[in-house]
Amino acid sequence: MLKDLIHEETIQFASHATDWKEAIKTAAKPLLTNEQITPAYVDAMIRSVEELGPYVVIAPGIAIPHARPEAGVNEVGMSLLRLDEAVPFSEKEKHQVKLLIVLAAADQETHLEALAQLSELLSEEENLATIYGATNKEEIINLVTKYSN
Amino acid sequence: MKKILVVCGNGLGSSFMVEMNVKSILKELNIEAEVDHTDLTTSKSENADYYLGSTEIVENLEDGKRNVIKLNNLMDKNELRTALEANLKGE
Repeated sequence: MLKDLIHEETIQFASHATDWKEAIKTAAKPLLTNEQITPAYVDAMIRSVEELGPYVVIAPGIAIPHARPEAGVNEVGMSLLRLDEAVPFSEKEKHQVKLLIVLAAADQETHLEALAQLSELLSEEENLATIYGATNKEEIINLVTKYSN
Repeated sequence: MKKILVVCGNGLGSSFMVEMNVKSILKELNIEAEVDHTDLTTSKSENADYYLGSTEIVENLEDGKRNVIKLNNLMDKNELRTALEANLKGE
């Protein structure tokens, strides 16, 4: 369930990031600390954007950096980083990112339920407003819990 | 039945999210189609009637033969609905 992955320890707020690489590194920190991913996975996520372009920006302002399980995932995980100031993934307007959700899939299947719930959550404009306006983690946790069934 | 292949960089994240939305919209529109998701590299050797994904990814599949449906915002169900209607009407 989504709330098992996005919780107190995996939600972060930051004012800004120097560039998109820094943003991905910061966003991935909780998963690295919990040893759910290895440093190689972080490098793979960055390389993936370098090779394929800013495709991880799935909607204006929202990026879901990820790489393949074999790049260095120990355990399925997600971590959320909200920035106050957008960081550019390209010069395009829609690639100015304020919300990053790092996705660590351990295989092709186990993350799908949570990903489906995340997808539902991100499809609603008002939920995004809640995330962008949140002043504490609790507000995001409440939202995530609502979508975890 | 037509086959729609949802494509993303790794075949693990966004393509699955979009696949779910495609399925629910097709149901609403009463259109029957086979929907699957995969990564860009695999998609090049897979046959489908439509290849759908974010512009940055699926423009790599344009060869003049494939039907490519490009999306600007993967989470925007309205954009997806319009694109599916335009391409699959009457199926």
